[in-house]
Amino acid sequence: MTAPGFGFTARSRPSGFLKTVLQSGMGRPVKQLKRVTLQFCDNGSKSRFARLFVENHLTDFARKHPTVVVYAMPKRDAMPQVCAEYLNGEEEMHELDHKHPDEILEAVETLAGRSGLPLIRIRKDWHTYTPSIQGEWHPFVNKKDYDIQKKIDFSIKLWDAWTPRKNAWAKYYRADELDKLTNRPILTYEEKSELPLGKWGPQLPPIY
Amino acid sequence: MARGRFHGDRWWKVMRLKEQCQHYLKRSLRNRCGVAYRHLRRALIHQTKGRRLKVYATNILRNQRLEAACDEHEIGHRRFKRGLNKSGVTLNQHMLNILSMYEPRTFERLVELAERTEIETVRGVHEPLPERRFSANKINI
Amino acid sequence: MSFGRANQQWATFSRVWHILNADRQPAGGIGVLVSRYVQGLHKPIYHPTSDVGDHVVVVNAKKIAYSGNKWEEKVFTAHTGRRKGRVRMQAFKVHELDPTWIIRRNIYRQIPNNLLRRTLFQRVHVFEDENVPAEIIENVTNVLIGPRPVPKAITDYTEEEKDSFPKLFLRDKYFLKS
Repeated sequence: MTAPGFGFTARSRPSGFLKTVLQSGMGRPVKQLKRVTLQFCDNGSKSRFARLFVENHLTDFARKHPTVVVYAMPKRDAMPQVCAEYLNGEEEMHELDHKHPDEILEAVETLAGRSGLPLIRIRKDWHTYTPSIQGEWHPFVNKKDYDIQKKIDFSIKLWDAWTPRKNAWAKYYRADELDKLTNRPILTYEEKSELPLGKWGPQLPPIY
Repeated sequence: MARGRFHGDRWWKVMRLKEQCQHYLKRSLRNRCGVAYRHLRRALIHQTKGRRLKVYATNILRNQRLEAACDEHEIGHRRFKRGLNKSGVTLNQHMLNILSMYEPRTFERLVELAERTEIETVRGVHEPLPERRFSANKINI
Repeated sequence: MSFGRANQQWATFSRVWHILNADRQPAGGIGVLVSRYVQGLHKPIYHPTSDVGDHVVVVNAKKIAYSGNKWEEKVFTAHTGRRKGRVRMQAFKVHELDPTWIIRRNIYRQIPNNLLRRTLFQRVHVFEDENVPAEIIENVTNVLIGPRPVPKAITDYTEEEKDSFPKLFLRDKYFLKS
């Protein structure tokens, strides 16, 4: 199930994003392994460990994964191998020549945990179908006073030299607070000399 | 097929090379490995050098996006960063971009945060501050 | 509002049509502004290889403003490639022949010099008057503000405002040219 290609670099070899088949973990998790066929010989020397596996571990494995169909096919002079088939049609085969039954059990358990998706470099270890909660950006998101019925008026606006331009931060303060910010009291020379930090120091803000 | 005593079986090595050259337009480059190897080598050198330049380019991109997002809310991008720094918000450019694209309302509130901390801590030192204050009673002497 | 997945994509990457009035605006500033919107640098989803630029309609290109004596002193040069082919023309002359030339040249030069420049320049529509065809005006949704805040001239004030304006001294007929 490794992807084809002998590329030098990760860019030329196939890569993909993290995926599950049909979002199977959201509701009830659906096992993607369909069936496991274990082929071995009843007399050969290579499949002696496979025969041990069939005697000791196979029924426990089958009980542990009730949705998986397990076939054990003894055949004269057959190479011992295990073939796993998945719901999306992928097949994976492992050869079990001279493998210890514990190793065979490990291999089969890993096959049971996988889905049929190809084994490729995962670009990111996270994925969402809903990246945004407040709504993604579109050109009219930040235009609060937009009215489609209004006719477009592109005439030039003329300024007097004495009109004050409104600051962008004026909308964060109330009107009386803004007055205090902009119309601060201009102190005379004597008033300034009576300040706690002196004439040339900063005027401290009031503490509430 | 072994051609000589020294080289041995080079078939797999040649196949790996040819896989990378299948998109070349010239037939001689697709079939003749010695010539193609020069082009391949140059491409791989560009790739190693580009790994460093990629960081440089992503920084530029992220800055451009931040500037665009700040423009929509009528604040300068340097003022925005200053205000965030002052208030102790340590979000980097990458996260600010993500917020401006996927969570526009939090970005609006961040803009407000930056403006008000800047006014009340940097600009408001010599001026009386409004009663309903946003930042703590901190002053910069 | 909630979109489906395809509709969300169409909403985010939709192309917006902007309109800009070039009356009494500087030509260079317009070039900078328009090239910014045409490349898509005003969007937080900007990327140089993905097509996120918008259309811009520039109106009143005839009424552009140059400061100082630039209409007489600024000279545009070209060479036809043949002998004695150097062409030099003052700015006012060029503006007479083609009123949209100066703005279009400024915008074209502000867009970066790459293979996208010509396609992006095709999304800039410049008109000398306010007579824009109906097919273009009905797409426009946004109004751009020019780089220069236009001051009021003495002719833009009404007589009442002029009379009611506070004066330092009264005009005496002996001190005025008759």
